[in-house]
Amino acid sequence: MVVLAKAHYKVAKYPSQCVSIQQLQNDYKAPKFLEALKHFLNTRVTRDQVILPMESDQFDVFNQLYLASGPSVVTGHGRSWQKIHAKLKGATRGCKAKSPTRFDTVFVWDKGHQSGDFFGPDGEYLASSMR
Amino acid sequence: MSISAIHITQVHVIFKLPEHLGLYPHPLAYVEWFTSPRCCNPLSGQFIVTRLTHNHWRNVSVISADRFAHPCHLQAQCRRNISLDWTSGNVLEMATMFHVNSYIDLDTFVALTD
Repeated sequence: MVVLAKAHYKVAKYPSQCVSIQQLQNDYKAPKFLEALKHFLNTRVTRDQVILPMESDQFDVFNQLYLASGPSVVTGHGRSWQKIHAKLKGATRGCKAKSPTRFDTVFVWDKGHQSGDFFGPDGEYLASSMR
Repeated sequence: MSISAIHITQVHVIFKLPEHLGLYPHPLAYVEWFTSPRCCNPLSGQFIVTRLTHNHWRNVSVISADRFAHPCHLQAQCRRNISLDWTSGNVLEMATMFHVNSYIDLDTFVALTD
C-alpha cells in the first residue's frame, strides 16, 4: 500500500494495468469517461498546456480505495481504514470466493471543502464503503 | 461545515492519470451524481435523493479522490411490494428514489441530523 498526500486515503501500490477506454465505457458502466476526463483536464487551472486523452489511451485502475476513519466524533476512539469499491466481478481463484461487481456510493466534499469536521474532528476524514 | 457542502456520488472507476496526460497528486474517480440531500422524508426523517440527470443522461464527472469524505449507504424506496427484480447487485440501477441511511453508523447519524 502507498499513502498519498494528506494520508486520509491510500490505494494499492500496483493497480490493474492498462484498462482501455472501451473497457471502462462498457464493463465499468462509464459511457462518458473520455468526455468527463477531458472536461476535468480542461478545468485544471494550474496547467499551461492541456494534453487531452484519446480513444487509444489506457489507464491503471484501482479496485478499491481505503479511506481513513475515525476517531469517532461521538465516542472519540476507533481508527480504521474502510474501503470504497469500484470493481468488476471476480472469478473464483483458489480459496478466494468469487465477488460481485461493486460500485459503491460515497459522500464527497464540495470543491474547496476537502477538510472539515462534518464527519470527523481535526480535519480528519471518516469513511467506509457499502452499498 | 454544513450538509450543503457535501454531495452523494456512485463511484464507477478509480484510476491513475497516465503520465503523458500530466501529473496529478491524487487518484481520480469517475462518478455519477445524486441530487443533494436537502429533502427529508417526514416519517423517517431521512434525506431522499434521486439520480441527477441532464437531458435524460446521468450527470457524471471525473473528480479527485481526495474529495471523498465518507461512505454513504442508500436504501431504495419501494412501494408495499418490493420488486422481485431487485437484488443487492442491481438495486442502485433499478430504483429511482433512495433514502440516505443515517442509522448506518453513529457519526453519520450525528452528521446528518445536526
